[in-house]
Amino acid sequence: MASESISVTTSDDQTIQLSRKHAQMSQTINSMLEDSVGADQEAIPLPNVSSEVLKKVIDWCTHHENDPAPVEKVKKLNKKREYKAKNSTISDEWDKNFVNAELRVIVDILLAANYLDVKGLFELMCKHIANELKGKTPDQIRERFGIQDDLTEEDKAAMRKAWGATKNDS
Amino acid sequence: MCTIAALPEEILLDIFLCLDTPDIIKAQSVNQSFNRVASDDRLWRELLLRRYSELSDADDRPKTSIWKKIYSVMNRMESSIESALEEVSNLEQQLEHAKGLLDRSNQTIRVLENLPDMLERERDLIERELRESQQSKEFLQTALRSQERHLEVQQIHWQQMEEKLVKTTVRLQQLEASLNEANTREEDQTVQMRNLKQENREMRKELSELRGVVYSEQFQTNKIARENDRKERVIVKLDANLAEKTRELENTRELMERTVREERSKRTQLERNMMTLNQQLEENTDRFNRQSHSMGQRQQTLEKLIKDESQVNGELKKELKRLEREMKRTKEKHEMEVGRMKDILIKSNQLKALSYNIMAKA
Repeated sequence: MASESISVTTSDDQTIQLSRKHAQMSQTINSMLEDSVGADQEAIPLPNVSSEVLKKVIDWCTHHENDPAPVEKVKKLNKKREYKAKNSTISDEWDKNFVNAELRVIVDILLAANYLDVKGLFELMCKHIANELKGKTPDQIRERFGIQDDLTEEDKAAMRKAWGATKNDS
Repeated sequence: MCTIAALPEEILLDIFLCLDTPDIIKAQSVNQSFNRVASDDRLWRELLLRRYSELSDADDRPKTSIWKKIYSVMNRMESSIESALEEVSNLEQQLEHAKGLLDRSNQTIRVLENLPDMLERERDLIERELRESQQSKEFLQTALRSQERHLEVQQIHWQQMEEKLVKTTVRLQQLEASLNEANTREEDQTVQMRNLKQENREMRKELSELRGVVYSEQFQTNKIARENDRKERVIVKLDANLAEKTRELENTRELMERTVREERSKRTQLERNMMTLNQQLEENTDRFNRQSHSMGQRQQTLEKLIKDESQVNGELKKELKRLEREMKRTKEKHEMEVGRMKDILIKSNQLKALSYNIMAKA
């Protein structure tokens, strides 16, 4: 079997060592490792992830390395049950502290977790952003996330018609 | 600015799946990207199943089953909205009634609140009257006392007069005796006696006058005493009257206070009733709004689902037709190819036979 340490190259051309256990928590890296069994272990290129963000991801993996593996969604039915149970409460104190970061960093970690396919981290970031959206008016959301209102009058009229005037912004 | 606006819509969909319907409805009017994600059927399918868990076990069955279930859920919703509406109108009627009752009791309370003041005024009036009659009683008593004193003085004067009269009579007798003695002696003495008799008459007149004065004084004193008695009787009556009125006043006041208390408690109860009614009304209105709102949402989603399904169906049919046409074409091509191959085979057999012939010749 290969060595206990894996090296990856980040988008800013840094080579970072991480343990095999942590690397395998990313489905993307895991499948790359399985594809290259027996070949020379070169550094795995991760062109979409910066070293700053990768370090954050490794931090999270280190804290969650002993979590039970996510249950495989064999059937559609199971997936649905999962959605039903889904809520956006973050129960882990460490996680709460982890998401207490700048919005830019949060978005970068979310994109990295999506690219690296780290299920738990991806869900945590989704929950965090969902909590940020919760209970806010459209104006407040636009202000918080710096979004331009590019909806046409027709779009707004259609939404008013569908959901009633009170649901729309001013 | 690096924000969630830069996120792929697939990831936005995962974020939206962590939200509940009200937040999704608000988020959809942020911008077009949000609006597109909030219109994704996968999202609404999950929201529908999350909300109506009874639909979820129909998921693996034929499609007709889920529509039937959705129809039955909506049917139930509509009837519950109707009953809630009815309840709301009932509650409104009750509220009107309670308002009328409250107005009436408020009026009664105002009247009752004014009553103690009126009674107070009446009582003051009676007390003033009583005070005045007591003052007049005192005044009459002092007058009576002075009259008595005067009578006593008159009586003493009278006694003195009587003593004087007795003395005079004694002297007269003495003088008569001496006159009898000197009767025969002196004519002058007779004149003297006549003079003395004259004096005696005058004295008697004076005495009778004094008696008349005493009698009139006595008569006046009796009159004053009688007057005094009458006034005392009036005062006693007034006292009794006052006590009775005070008692009456107390009773009325107690009654009033009791009535006021009752009215107050009635009023608080009515207010409480009204509050609960108001609350119920609000709750029902709220519930009704929520239900009608969720109905609207569901209807929209259902319509969209129906439209999508029919579209997919048309596309599939078109695709099937196209595939059939292609298959037919391929079959024809294939048959042509087979024919050509057969020709080639025949030709090659002919060539083979020719070559054998040539070989045999050779």
